[in-house]
Amino acid sequence: MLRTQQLTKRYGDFEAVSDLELDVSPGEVYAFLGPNGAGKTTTIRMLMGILVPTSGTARIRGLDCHADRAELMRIVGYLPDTPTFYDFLRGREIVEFVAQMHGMDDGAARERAAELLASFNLTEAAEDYAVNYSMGMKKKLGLACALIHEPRVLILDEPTSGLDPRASREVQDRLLAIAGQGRTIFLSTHLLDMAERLSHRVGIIARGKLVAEGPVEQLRAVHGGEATLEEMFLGATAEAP
Amino acid sequence: MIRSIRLLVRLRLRRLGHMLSAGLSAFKRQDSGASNGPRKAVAGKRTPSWLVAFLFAPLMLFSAFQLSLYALRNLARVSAAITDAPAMLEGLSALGAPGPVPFVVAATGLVSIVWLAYFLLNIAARGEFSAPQWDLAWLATLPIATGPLLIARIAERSVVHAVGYLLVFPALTMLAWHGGWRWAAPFIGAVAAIMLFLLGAALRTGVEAWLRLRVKQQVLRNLQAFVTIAGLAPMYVAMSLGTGGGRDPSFFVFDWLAATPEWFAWTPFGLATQAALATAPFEAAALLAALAVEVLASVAIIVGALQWVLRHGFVGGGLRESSRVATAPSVTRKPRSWLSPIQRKEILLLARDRTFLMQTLLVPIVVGVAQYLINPGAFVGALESPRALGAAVFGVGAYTLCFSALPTLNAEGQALWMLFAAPIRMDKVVIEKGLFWGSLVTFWPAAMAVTLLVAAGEITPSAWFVIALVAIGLPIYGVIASCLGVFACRPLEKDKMRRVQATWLYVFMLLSSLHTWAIFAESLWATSASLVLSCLLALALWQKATDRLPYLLDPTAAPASSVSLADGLIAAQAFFVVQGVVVLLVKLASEGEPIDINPILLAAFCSAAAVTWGLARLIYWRNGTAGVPGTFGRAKSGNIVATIGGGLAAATIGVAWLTLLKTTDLLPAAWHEVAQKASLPGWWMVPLAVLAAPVFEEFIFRGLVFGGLRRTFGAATSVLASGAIFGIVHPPASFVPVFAMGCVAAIVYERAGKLWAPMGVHAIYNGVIVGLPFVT
Repeated sequence: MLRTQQLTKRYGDFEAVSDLELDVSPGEVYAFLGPNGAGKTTTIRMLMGILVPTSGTARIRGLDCHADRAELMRIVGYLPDTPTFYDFLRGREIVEFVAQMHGMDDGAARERAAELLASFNLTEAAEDYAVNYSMGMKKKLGLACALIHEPRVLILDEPTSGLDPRASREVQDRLLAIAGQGRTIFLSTHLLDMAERLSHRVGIIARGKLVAEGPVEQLRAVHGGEATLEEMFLGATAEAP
Repeated sequence: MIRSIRLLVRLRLRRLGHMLSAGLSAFKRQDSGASNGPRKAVAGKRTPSWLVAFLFAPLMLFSAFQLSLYALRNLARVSAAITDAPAMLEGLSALGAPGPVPFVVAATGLVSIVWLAYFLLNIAARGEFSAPQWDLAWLATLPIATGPLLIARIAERSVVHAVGYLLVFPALTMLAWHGGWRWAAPFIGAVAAIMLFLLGAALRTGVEAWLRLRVKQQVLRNLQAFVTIAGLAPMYVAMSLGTGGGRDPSFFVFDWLAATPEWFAWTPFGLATQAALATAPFEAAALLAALAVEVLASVAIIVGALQWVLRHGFVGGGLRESSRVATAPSVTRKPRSWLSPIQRKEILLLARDRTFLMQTLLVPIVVGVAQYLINPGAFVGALESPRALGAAVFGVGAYTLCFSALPTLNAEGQALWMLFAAPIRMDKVVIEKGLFWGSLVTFWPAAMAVTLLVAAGEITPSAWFVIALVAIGLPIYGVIASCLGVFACRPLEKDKMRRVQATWLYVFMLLSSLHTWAIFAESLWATSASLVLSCLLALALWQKATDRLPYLLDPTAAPASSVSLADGLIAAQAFFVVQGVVVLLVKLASEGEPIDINPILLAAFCSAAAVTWGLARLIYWRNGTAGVPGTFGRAKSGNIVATIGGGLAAATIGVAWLTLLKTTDLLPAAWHEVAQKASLPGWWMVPLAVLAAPVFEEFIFRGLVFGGLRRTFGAATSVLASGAIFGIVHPPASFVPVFAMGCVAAIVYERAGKLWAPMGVHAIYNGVIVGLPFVT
């Protein structure tokens, strides 16, 4: 479904992502863990075709993430780490705009936007300019945009960072429900309890390299069965020199 | 408090310093040695725009001094005339001037206008109101009392700015020079200017604080736009006095200055003017002291008032709270399906964002009016000459595109990811935006039509032709602008001011002069040729932009090099320019002695072709370019028979055309004349026609132009477009057969994939056409 082979991104001398091998199956929720600056966002941007791999390939359903970007976006929904929206556009207008960009006609776009805004409790704020939203509202608006075309694959960069506990729980519940519909979710986070709660598998990345991968229980077994995810995370990300 | 002033000033200066050094670093060698260091931020692609500003600053300062001097001389001439010459006085009274006006009063008016320009432009330059954060609110969290903080802020603002030093200081210095202070003038100018800066800084701080507390963020941003435009007006008015407008004693600005009320002489502006014009040092010192007292008193009053306004703290309307607009939810409008979602979004933003609206649609008007003020003579007779008017109208339209279509991707700003996450090709977005803006600015030719109707009562056919030409040109150049914008934009740049590379504005204006040429061209042929070139230019830039766009948000990656239409156009251009240069050099070397031009033409052709071919090969080899046309080798399909057949078919068309020209008079007379006057070609023509021309021209026109087109476009489009450009570089009389030959050669090349095939077609065609006269 989502597959990277020897995916590498270099900025000058700095290797942000090196030889990354990922394979996410359909319907799987995959949590991509790592400390700040480990290469999570770089990987996600390569999956979105925004960054160009220095070498290696990234493919989703057989489509090359960079070369076939426009085609791929029909089946992919994306939430960036800090969603920024157009000035002078209201929340509703932004969701409608995204719906129209996905080829919906005006009536359908309006209906679908209203439906999604309601489900994210944004109906009241729908007539405000989106730049003025709080971080939590922006994330929710971004999720609404990402879900507008009912994508098979969701790529979410830190979907709950900057959210208060209630909003964070709300988003996680939404994601669980979406995962229940059989969609593939690839999300990056550094919230370990969230990864544990949501995902079928986790991958831990440090300094651009995948240092551990597997279901949480399996990783735990490797570490003697008693370790918390936090301990495993600290252990895995501390090893590199 | 002194310490906090010093710290604030140092903070500002340090920021300026960083901006300068960031610009200079473009010239520094990249230090790649420290690979073991911590993660380095990715260096953005920088241009030395700050260095340019640095180099231009003395130049600007000089012209500011010069303009001030001219303006004052003009003013002195008029006010002297008012007091001295009764005849002139009558003339001015008729214009509404209230009577003899002392120079000092008129000069006070001028100083006030200059100060107003500084005050408004300074706010505009800093983008103060549009910044979401109010930095004073942040500074207020530091352990300084409000009073000293305000004073520190005012003091800092009166020192750190550029506009004042370029406007107010030169004006006052030249005034003092004019007043006879000579080399003491800069001193008097500086003291007076600093006082006026202090007044400006205090007012600015006061106005900003008051607005921040009372007015919503959106309104503030729109206000910023008004200030930007409003600041230009007094600047141009002041400038006009030193340039064209000021040379005319009946210029209307003189009337304004003459209307300066007498009591103005006792305002800070008047005191500064009086000090500069004072005759004795004591008098000047007293006046400057009075100025200082007035300014300091004003500052004290403003600070006191601000302390009262800020007594509840710095939190005003706030950001989020202020945004809730009481509008009816979901205003249902009739869907306009002929506009794409992107174009509809653009309209919505244009309607709401005043800054955007001002910059795109109002700035060109302001600049046009300013041109009139500075150089009124330029517009004389515009109504009588539709071509001149059309060229001007197209110029304004193109200028508008500089601020709308060209920075269109920058306008997306940080929200660009939304387009990248949508299932749409970015080049389509760019074309849609280019067409949208290009069509929007056809407002200008429409306005021209209306103006002509109103002013002249009718629109002549030739005027209609010009209007149509302008209306066709603008969408084409809208596309060109938005494609150039792909290269001009740096969406990863955090600083808003640095996201557009201004160099590309000049490139665009230069390119758009091509269409101005089409408007001015005398013959229909030249106009059509120019239009074809404009279209090809748009296609070439679109192709380049399409290559670049998928890499737009990647700071390091760049598209792989491959042969493009632009290469073909550049090669064709180089080919003709070098030919011209060689012929010119030989003519110069012959020093007027009669020479046989034909062998020189042959030599020029071959040397130009060799230079072009060599350079193209060298560049392609260095860049490892893909798609470089191969000359020899097995054909993909088709064979030598197809080549010979194609050549003969093209030659048949050529011979038929020649016969038509020689034996009938169905076509333009000039064409028939060319064909009938043609004499027997010389020996030199044979190698040129059957060897040199096919080899080199096929490399450029089929290999690069057609090959470049074919990479992006369908076979039919590429065949026709490459045939068209090949046709228009030949004389009009031979366009038809040359176009046909170009198309045949392109089809043969498309099938064979190797250049020997079209070269063969070309050689056969040329051989027949050149050989025919020898046979008959």
